[in-house]
Amino acid sequence: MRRLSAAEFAASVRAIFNDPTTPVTTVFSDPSVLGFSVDANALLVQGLNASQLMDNAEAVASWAVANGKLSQFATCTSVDAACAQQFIQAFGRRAFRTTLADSDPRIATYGKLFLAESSFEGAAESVISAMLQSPYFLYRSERGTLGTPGAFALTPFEVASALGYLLTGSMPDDPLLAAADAVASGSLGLGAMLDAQASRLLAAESPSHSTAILGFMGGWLGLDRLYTTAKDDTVATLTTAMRDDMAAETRNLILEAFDGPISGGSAASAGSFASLLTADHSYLNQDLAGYYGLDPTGLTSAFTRVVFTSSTRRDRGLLAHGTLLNGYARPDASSPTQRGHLVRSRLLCQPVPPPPANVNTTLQPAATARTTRQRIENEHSLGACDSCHRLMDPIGFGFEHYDGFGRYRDDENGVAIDATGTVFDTNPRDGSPTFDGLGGPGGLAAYLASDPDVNQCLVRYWTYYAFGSSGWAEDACTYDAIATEATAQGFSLRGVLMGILHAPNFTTRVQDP
Amino acid sequence: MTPTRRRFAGSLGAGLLLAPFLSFDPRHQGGLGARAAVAAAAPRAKRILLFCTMGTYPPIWTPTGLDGESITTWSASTSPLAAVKDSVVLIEGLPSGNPGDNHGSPDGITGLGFGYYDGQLKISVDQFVASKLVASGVKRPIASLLLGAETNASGGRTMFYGGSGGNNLPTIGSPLSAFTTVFGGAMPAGVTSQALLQRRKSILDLVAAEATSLKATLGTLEGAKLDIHLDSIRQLEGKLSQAVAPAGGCVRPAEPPGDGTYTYMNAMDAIAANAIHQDIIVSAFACDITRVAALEYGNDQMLKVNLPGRVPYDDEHGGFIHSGAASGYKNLIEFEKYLAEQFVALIGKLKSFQDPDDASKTLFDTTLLAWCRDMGDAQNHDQKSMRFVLASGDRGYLKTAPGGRYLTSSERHERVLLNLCEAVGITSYAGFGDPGLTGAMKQPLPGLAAV
Repeated sequence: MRRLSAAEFAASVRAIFNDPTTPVTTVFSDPSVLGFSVDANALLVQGLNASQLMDNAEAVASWAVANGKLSQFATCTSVDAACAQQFIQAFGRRAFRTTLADSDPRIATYGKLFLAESSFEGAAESVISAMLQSPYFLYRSERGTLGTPGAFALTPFEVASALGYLLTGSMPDDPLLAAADAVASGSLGLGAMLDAQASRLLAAESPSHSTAILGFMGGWLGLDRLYTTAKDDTVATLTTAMRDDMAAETRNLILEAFDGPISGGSAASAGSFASLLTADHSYLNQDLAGYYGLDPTGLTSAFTRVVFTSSTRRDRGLLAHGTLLNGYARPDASSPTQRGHLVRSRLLCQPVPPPPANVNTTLQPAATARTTRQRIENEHSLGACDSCHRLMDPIGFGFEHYDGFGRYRDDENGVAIDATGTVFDTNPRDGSPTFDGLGGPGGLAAYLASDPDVNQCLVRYWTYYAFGSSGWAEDACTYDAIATEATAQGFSLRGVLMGILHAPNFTTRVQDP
Repeated sequence: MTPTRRRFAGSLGAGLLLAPFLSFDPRHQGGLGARAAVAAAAPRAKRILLFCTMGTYPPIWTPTGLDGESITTWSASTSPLAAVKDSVVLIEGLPSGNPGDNHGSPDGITGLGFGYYDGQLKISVDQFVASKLVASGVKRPIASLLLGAETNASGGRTMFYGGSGGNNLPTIGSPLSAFTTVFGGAMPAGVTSQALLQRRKSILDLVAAEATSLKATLGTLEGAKLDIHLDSIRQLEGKLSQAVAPAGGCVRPAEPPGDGTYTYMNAMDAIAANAIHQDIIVSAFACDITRVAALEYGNDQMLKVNLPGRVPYDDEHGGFIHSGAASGYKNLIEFEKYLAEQFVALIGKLKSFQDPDDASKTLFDTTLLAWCRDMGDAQNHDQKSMRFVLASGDRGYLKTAPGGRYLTSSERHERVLLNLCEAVGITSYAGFGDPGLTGAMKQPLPGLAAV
């Protein structure tokens, strides 16, 4: 059982009525684990949630009655057993994301609520309110049916829910539920359902196709930090409009990789995360190009694919996007530590422990330090700090051509930028690769693009996002299965996602203790 | 948000059901004054309110002038507290049992760190007090009200723990959801109060039966989730079963606007939303809907500080702490002053309402406030010297001093949490805090309470 996340909850309520204006009150305050709010063990219904759910369900039910939403679930308007069954089966199919057969005992259970009311409107309101508080709505079922000992085969509807929420962030739509019906009746294979429905939902023209990739990338790379990281307006102004432009730049590049190869990458890496790191172009509009200090000639307010040349004073690829550079920075300055931590923990899956207690973490810049790099080296290279900071800072120095606001710079306080760095091995420490800035063949992006650890790390995070479980040590077989399929697809982003859908875990549950 | 001053006594129709008020009469409700099982002596407080924030930089907090225990000169960051100086006690120096637990330690108001305590579940003092009050018969529609916006931001957790799993507890972040949870939502059209109550009970019976049935099909780990869910349902059932007349000083605040009103940088503006939460908590007290409430600013990782006009730029608190030395911690002091002002404002609001069942007292007179933090020294990420600001009103729990009282102690900080328990009449602390503390060490800190 996996409780719907706050976002899935809201999306599902709206999808049930097929109306984006459906009033949904914020009920859940989901914890974020590893950057995502999907953790199956952390998503609970607790404390006052039941009370909040009741209030929300009643408000939605009242809204449905007042706004003529009942007719999509029943053609009848009487308070009798036949009408009860019609309404319960229709509404329950959407709320519970499964077909309620005539023999389903829930028809009788909810029928009692329905028949206890004196009007059809009241009866429908009561059933809607109840179903929106029901565990069958609030949790994604992963119970399945017992197959081999200790392993449960998920039902077609459970798989359809998993697919719907992973790819669209919402409940399975009508075609997906219909496909699950077909699988349940034996007229369609489960694998065929997965492939056909994934293909449909991930098609570029699908309104939700971007959710699948951006939902994952957002959590993995912390893209929302662009908006949540505080900025010191006394140093520079980063407007909301500029943040929106930066977000659009990143979104466009990711979607291009997901929907098709990015030109400039090698054939083997086309459409892969590596191709995002080394893309020879970006998506700019006039304002963003101006902010970046690039020539905006010919650009408009619309985003245009702009190929970077050797004379472009900005590095290629995702790492040089304002989205990441602003999100991983201090309010007033760049942060080699944060940027290095992003690479170390998110791209290489090498967690760095937080600073130990009893360490004075106040930055105390030396009088002679004139650049951020000098200050960091001065502070962190000494004593115990170095043991962890050497895993982050020397990577983050590669970003130093960009200040805390994502603007390119050749110098800081008159001192030429030194963007050389090292990715120290965690063990052993010798033989670590060095690089010179972000871009170019010897740059950090090129190093990461060729490091197989990055792809493995991508698989681990995406698997966690898909399954809501962080039992990485136990999931080696899953990773292997996904990596094998992804490798055959050149580790394209789409290939990794399809590998997840084809992994045994997607259709099978192992009995918990 | 300004209270409407509209009293519910004049509109008991929907209010009777939708705002599940419970009149408090210790003569037949097992009130605090009659709870021999809980308290040996009459407690000084009927309710506790926790005001929870992140740690601070101690040198900007400690009073700069003292005459014995009396404060003669307040630090800049606590200077707003001078407005309520005769009601507050500042205390610091108290180590936690796990002074090196860093960010995210649950120790702040549980007395338990990251470690394993022979299976004892983590429970924060608010939940411990709430459970003890319920067990002693002091039942209110809401056992404990935990509010605070964006307490889950950036992977952070709240300071609250409890429930059947000893798990971290969320706060209600949405002011509108908090309001409807406390005071009820709009009355559905075409249904009477009694009919709606019956419908609700039928639905809860159904939902509880479904959860129980589902649990039977699951393994232990998965089933535990539904145990927690069922506990939440039971809380709601209790709330519905206690719908009686509102208390005398009950005033419902204005219904807050939707969440979009507080949107700031793709998230909720926690500072603005928490100001609304403060009003909701005080009104919940005035209506005797709950005896235990807590408000948290930020979480154990960060707090988005958005105070235009007071601090020059936004921050996640960490910057004010770790980069503040160059400016003499100017921004941190300004933000701490803001928090102190909110603490003072809470006291002012509590003073503006009468106690629900004693018109001769204000809410403040019968409430104990505690400003708690997750870390002692936030700059060093340690819990070596935990600090509190406590406040109580006329003939309240605390021993106070006219100019403000300041204490230091090297006793475990958990003992101050036991003072909160003692204030409402709880004298048995088994199940709370470090089980390794026994005897005199497992008693409230002497000298805090008025004799």
